[in-house]
Amino acid sequence: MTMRVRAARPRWLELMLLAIPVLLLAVGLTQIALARGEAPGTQDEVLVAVLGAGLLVVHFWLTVRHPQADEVLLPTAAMLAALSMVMVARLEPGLASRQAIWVGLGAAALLATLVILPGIDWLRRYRYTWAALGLLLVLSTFVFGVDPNGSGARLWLGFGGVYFQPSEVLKVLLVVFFAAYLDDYRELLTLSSVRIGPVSLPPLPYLAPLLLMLALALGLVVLQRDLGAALLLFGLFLAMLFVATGRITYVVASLALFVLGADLLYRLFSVVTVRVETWLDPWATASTTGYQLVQGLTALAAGGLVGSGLTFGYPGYIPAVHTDFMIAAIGEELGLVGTLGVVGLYVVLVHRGLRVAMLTVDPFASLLAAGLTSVIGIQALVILGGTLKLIPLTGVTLPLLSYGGSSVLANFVLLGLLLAVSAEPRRGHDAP
Amino acid sequence: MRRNLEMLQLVLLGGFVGVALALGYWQFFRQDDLLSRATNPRVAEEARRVVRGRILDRDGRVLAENVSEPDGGSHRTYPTGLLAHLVGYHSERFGNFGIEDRFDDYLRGDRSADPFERLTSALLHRPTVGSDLVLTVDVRIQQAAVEALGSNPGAVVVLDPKTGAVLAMASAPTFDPALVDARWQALVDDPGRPLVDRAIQSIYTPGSVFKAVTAAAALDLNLVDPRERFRCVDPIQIDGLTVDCRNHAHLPVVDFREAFAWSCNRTFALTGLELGTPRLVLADGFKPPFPWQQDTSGSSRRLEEYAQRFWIGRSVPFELPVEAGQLKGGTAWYPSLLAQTAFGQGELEATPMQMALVAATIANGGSVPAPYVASEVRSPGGATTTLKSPGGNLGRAISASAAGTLNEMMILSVDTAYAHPAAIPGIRVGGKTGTAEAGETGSTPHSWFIGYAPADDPRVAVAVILERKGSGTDFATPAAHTVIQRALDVYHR
Repeated sequence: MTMRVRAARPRWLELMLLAIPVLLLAVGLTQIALARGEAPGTQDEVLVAVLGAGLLVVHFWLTVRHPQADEVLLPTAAMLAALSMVMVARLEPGLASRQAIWVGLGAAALLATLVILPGIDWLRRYRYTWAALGLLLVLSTFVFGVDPNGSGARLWLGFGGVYFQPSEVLKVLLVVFFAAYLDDYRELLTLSSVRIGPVSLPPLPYLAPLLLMLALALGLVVLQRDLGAALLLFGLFLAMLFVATGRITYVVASLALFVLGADLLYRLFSVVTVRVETWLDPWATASTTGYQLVQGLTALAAGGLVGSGLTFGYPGYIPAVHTDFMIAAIGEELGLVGTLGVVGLYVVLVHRGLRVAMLTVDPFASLLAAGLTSVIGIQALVILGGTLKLIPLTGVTLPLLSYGGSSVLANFVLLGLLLAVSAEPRRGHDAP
Repeated sequence: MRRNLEMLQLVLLGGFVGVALALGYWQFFRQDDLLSRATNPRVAEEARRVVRGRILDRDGRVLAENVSEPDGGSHRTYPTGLLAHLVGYHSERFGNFGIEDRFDDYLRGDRSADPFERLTSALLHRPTVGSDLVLTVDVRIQQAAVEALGSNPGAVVVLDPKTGAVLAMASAPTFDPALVDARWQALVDDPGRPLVDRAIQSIYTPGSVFKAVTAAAALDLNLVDPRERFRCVDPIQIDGLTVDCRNHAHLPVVDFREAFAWSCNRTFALTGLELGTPRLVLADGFKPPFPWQQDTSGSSRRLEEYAQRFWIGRSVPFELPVEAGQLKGGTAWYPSLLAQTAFGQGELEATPMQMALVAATIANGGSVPAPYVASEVRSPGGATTTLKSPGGNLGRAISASAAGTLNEMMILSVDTAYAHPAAIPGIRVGGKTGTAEAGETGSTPHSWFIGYAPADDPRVAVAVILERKGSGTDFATPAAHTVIQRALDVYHR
């Protein structure tokens, strides 16, 4: 194993940018306290301290061990996490400290990823293990799954009052597997084809394990009625397959399969039927199945350009506002300015993540970075599009913004992997 | 692979551009549309957060105020429970009623603060605080009025005859304005119609209390010497209608004042029929042509004119809508209708407010006081705005001298005749009773009283009606007595 220890180098840009989320959290919590007619309390100070300390430790480790790592990714993610802490404190004051603990643990998980990870190669080596582990976790919810918040789906595993959603882990593990597999068979998949008369088909035998894994993952989440996760995993697969091969044929074929599958689901599952009908006209069922979407859109409208200001809106009318519908609460109280800001943060994350993928030399690392970035981007698009009535609503968390332990943890681990990749040798720098 | 990554970046960024456009669409272009829909709970929420102004009686006693709830909202309470109809109710679901409705913009705070104060309040998210509204009513007099009505359907109106200020206004049966939301359907379905403000919205046959208007016309026109005695015993026949003197069977010879005090229907039928003549002929022993066989169009015109002057059949200007009532229905005048109208029957209908105004006008020397109930607005900042100055009038009904004579007749009625239950030792009280036949023949009549006190310097004028209770003397008059007594005890201008 090659050691890539470089001399520590200050990361001034990152350090300066990291001040913004800490400031945002301090200002946000102060504003909420003042609006409620109280002085900012000890809990507020602790929350700011947790975020600041967590970010500083990660920053310090990156400075010492990975000075080449991307300097924008961490502050951008931290902005989203800080906004998340502010909004959870606003929407569910009782959960504010829990969310802070999760962000703290997330920072620890990020650090652990950077510290423990022996190298990118180690991920590649155990690709089937990761895939099997992910599937096993999801599979276990069929046996041990619980539904702590009454969402109607048993998607969680419980350990003494702490709940954990395996599909959040599955997405990260699947990225690793896809990246490793696609890296192995990239050239075969890109170049070769099986000719049957005038039609050239992709080399199906080489795709089979990939498709099998996808089918298993999709099958499991669909059986769990976790349609958002299914959409995310499918999108992820498509994005990574395209990045690896660049073949439009795959995209077209996959989309055709997707249409067939979606149609089948639409016919088979009443859940899907209802979702699609609600999407087409939520106001027809504004008091039942369309209630969440209608209230979400109304909250966005109520916010207008600059919003009502924290605590002065009525986002409490939206079910699951602190998880899936966080953007509606931000829209009502921080306005279009706030929501476009959030979109801007995701754009920055996607841009920087793909930049990592473009700059890195190792194709596996590049695929890994592209996949991790796609997870963030696609997941954000799935829930934002659903909330905004662009696509049928499927429940996934808004990455780094929604309240929720497993989501926060998984996304911080994901960020750790991305940072690790960004520290790999780059084009035009010190490529061997 | 770089090109593939660029392509992926393009697709993902395209998605976010779509999201940004959708955000702009919902948050900007569709904003008004979405917010005006019934699915938007914010309008009701904002209204609930308004600290609605209080409604106070003339001495600052609280008639309506908001009580805070733990969640930041508040609900309306009505501590006295005595003015359900006048003060009304404030309901998000069923709208407002009464003073709560009429002065909603002040109470809600929309008209109170100056523009700069409103802007800063909005920017700082201060809850809107409404202005307090001060009424002219006195809770203590209102209490007496409510007790006087008891459970009997009816109404009481108490006015200051000099200023027009409403001192009390009660209607029975009543309701709890704080429970309107909870009991709405039951209140609407209740056959007793508790939501109707009988004082201003119900029209009743006034019966003999209307004789005050007929007498006022005769005196103002100088058609009669009130002290000239005449024999009044024989019933008269008008188009088959018999009008007799049974109300004063013990007094065969009377003057006009006594005929009024003893409520002689014959005398007032004749007065009505002869209003168009130069001199009333009232004594027994008529020779043809009888007044009712002559052309009575001049008489009916004069009765109409005086009814108008007393605002019978017209909408009285007031903060709340007052029913106009009518002197007669759509038919043309005929002698027996004119005769009946002149003593308060026929097709005549009036609100208790209008009859209280008749009493107040006599007490006020013939000038009709303009009734009002809302005196001033007190903004949260402490500024006071006068809504209406006392002492406005709605025109002169009769001359001061005619009013003076009528005043003596009203006093005589209390001192010696049917209105005696209204008498208060040491104080001169003027009054007129009424026992109004209405609806089916044989049904119990409405019991009426109108009057005022002290007669030499009037402070209060009242009208009392007890629906289908019996004679005016036996029921409305003693009820009015307690109200007048209480008003004189507590009310000093």
